[in-house]
Amino acid sequence: MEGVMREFAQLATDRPAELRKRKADGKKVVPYIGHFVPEELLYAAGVEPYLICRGGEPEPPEAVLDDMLRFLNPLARSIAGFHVMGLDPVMPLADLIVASQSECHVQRMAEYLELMGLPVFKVGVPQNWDRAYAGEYYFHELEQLKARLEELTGSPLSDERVRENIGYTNQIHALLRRIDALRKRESPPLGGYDFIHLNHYSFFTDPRIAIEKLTAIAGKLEAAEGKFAKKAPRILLAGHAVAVGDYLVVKNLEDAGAIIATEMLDEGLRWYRWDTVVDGDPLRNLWRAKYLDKVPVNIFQPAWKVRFEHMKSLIDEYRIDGVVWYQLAYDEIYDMECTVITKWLRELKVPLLKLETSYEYSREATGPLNTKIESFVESLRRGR
Amino acid sequence: MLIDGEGRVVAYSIIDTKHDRDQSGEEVLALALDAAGKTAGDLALVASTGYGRRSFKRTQKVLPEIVCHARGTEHLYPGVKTIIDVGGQDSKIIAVGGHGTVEMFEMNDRCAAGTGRFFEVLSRRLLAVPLDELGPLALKSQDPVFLSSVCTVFAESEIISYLSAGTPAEDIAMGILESMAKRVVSIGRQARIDYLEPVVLTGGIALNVAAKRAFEEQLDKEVIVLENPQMPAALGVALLGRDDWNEERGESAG
Amino acid sequence: MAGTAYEEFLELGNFEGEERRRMLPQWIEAAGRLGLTENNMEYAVKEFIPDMWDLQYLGIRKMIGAMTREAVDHTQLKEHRQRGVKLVYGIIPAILTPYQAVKKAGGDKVFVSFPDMCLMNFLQPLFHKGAALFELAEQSGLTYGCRHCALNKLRIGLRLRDVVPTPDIQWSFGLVCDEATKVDEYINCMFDDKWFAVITRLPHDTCMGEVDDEIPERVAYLAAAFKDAYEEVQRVTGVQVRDEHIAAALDDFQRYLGKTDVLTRLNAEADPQPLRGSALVNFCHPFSMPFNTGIEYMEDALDTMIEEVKVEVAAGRGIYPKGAPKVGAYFIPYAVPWVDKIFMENGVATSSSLTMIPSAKQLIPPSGTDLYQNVAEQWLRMVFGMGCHVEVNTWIEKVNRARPDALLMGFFDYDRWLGQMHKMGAREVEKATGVPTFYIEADFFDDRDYSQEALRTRIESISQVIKMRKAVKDRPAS
Repeated sequence: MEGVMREFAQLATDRPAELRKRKADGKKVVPYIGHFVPEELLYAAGVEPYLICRGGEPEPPEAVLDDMLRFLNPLARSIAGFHVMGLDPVMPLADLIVASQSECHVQRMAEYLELMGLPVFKVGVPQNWDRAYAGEYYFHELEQLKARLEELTGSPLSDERVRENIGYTNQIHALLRRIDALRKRESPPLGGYDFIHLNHYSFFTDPRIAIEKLTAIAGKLEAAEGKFAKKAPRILLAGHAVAVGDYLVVKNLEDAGAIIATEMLDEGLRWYRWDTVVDGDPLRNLWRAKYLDKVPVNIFQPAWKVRFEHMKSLIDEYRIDGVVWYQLAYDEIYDMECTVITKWLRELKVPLLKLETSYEYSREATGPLNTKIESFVESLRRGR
Repeated sequence: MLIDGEGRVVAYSIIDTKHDRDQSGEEVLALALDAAGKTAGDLALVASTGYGRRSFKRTQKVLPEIVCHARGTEHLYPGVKTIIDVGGQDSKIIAVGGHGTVEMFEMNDRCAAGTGRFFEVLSRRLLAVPLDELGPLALKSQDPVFLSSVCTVFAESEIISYLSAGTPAEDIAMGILESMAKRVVSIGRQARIDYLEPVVLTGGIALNVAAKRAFEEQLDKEVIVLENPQMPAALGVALLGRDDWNEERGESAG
Repeated sequence: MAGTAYEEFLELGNFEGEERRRMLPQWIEAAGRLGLTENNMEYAVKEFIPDMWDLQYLGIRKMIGAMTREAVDHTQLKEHRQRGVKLVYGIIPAILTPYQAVKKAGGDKVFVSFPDMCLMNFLQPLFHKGAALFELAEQSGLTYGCRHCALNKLRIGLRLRDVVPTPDIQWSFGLVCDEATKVDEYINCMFDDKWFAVITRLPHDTCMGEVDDEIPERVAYLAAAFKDAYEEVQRVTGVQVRDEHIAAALDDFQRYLGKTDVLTRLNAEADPQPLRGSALVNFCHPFSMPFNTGIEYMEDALDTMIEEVKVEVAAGRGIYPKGAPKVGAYFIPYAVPWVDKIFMENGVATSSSLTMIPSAKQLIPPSGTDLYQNVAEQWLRMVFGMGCHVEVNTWIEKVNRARPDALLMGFFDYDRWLGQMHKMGAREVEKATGVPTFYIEADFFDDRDYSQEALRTRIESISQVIKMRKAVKDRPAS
């Protein structure tokens, strides 16, 4: 299994170099920010997509402080910061950057990218999702995106191609669900650290190759022995995002003896629990899948009660012992949701640990972080 | 901390941790063994906790300090429901369940304002009073100052202003304590810890006789200070180590 | 004795004769409900207010009176409810005119306000007493300090203290501010499940080069969005808002905007300058929040102030020395008026506000036939906290018009919506206008987390640099 994982990881790592070659061959490179940008549309248009969602390092958020507010979440600052530091290999290649605009942090970051002269196309996502006019706005934004892609490539974007790519995404989702289901075992063959990596690799690989790799991995995992101790505490990791490169917390949780049995994250992981309908108008289907037919993201309104119901169902389904709420510093809406969830989980008697990150782990002592993580895991273990 | 198989304290020693944590571990262990008239060969198990827990090479079991703290405090004060621990580097609030288990906890974030460091830096440095005299000094206060800044750096300049204005040292000392207590208590409230009683204050700050008053004012509840407030974590890791050792040998924990 | 400080305060607010007698018991009661003690009152009337506000002007005293009337009215919300008055709350950011239209249509049957904005602008600048409410919100579980906007903390604190009861409807625009509307969800989930909010938002997607009010689809979207919520507001309150109410609200807004433009121009162009920046911003409140007691009192204060400033300008008098450098700011931090004071002590005048000076386009009323579209267009022209680039272009226009000697940015640290633009925008403004910009990391509502000493040092340093640069600029060519 390790061999396939390494190959998969290598493909993801090699993606920027591959993009440089493809660009030289005349292909359009289109990095995108946020999951409200349907990668299916980008693939169908024949451009080369690349998810921008990189974090976990302290310098990039600091690198933008001449122009960006300190009190903005470190992921938004990182996205701009890696580029400012010359460490983003893909943004300089971009023919177009598509940024979904769902909240203040990513909005202001996108404006900064524009100021730096980058070609940004914005997909507005209204947050009051229970209003019909708001939903239609997002649909209109997808239509605009489609038109922009056609303009960029000089070719029409066929419904057939979109349906084909929806099919690929659905297959990837099905495979991720298949792998995820293994975490319901008492001692699963993989935990959150590996599962999150699989998600990340799948973002940077051609969907057909991703399907091939995930199929192989799923088969091997199903036959594999468990790698966690019996009675290891089972954790639900919830919050905003585990960005590419931000693995310290998930690693330390599992090194401390816990299993991250499942996640409830808005970014950084595929929304693999929900598929997109293939038949019919593919743009309308993508719209439905992303905007309506899933648990709402945190910024949507109303959202928190529905999200908590989802959290409760995950707690039951995955036999969760404790919840780790992982949020980005200054992510004010997630912080508010955490306060609400703290109250509700307390009523359910489910332990909660709140961790906040500025991606400063490699600079400051990780002592307090590990104390919190290990204490939480230990208290769950002894409480079992 | 040395305990016997029944969980009784045989000997206890404390030193300031130095740069070399392994060396510090050896030193404090040697002191305790000496006090007990024992040698390292008499030890059934060595367990460690705290930030240097992994640096101590002799350790055979490593446990994080929050669970140790809860267990140790519960042993010293059975029935404790809330622990407020203010150490030099961090503060913790622990909601304790039955048998010293941890129901909930919260720690201060990177900010130093809710730690003993805040008090030490501001009081000792600015007031030039030895640490062990600050408590009695603060208790004399009739009108503690109000520090609006939660940040240690900014609070320092506020205190300098008070000093320049001739504010009595005792009022400043008590004001600093109250500011620290307020900050610590708010950490727990944000995690929705209810501060159920009995509330026990531990850590170095508990040696300060005025700290109890500062926390009681914040909570409007009685706050208990242990005779050896810096003991709980070490006692807790010893007890938990003993429990695990017994469990592994199939014996009941007693 | 108990009445003295309270009565002195009313005198400061230009309450006289029978009105003062009638107001006094209400004011004493209101102060108690707001957590103001007799000591607070003494301190405010004897030291804080005279120090921070130029009470020699009748316009300022009338302004304080207008804010007091509004604050007292807010403390009587429970009584209003008992009388069957429907309570409609809003928050900033919001398009003001629809709320005003509801009030025009409903009269005394409806209470319309942004309670947090009103009481923040009362408690902080006049008493410096917002902190207790921020802390109350933090004790309810909201993380301290820089993690959240203090205005929202005040909103939560007011609800927790039950100064502000549950409304019949909370209409939260939010627009491109995230936290404002989510606080409604927070209140509902945490401690008031009857807190019913209807939300109007605008997606964050104006691109560089786009001008919001010149995109017909955007104007139409915002019009449709607020119409959608408006129906709910009308249903809950039973108030039917007709076109003439909206038209009247739009007229009020334009008229008031025109007058504030006169005042800010007079002040910005005067040398010596007769008014502090904080005062200017306070006069501008009626175009950022509805006044349930009506804008008449504030408008009267504004009219008086304009006349007084004209007299001062004609006489060559001012509260700053002649030739004092002028500094503009994004808002002028009116909730922390000591910022103005520290500048004043350093011989620098806070003169103009990028938000409160209307742009040339804003002064032209929208002229379409659809009133809802006109309302949407009027808001989008304000360019307040929308797309950074188009807003910065209006900053450039305003700076070129007001020509301050420097521009002060910052004081919006805890606001992920507005705070972000300052650094980016400051650079662009400086490039385009040559006016030097300075940035202070602070918050203009919540001053608990930064030292006044540190602030004083920053402002002194900035003032030194401004004066040096002005001296060089004003030096006659040799």
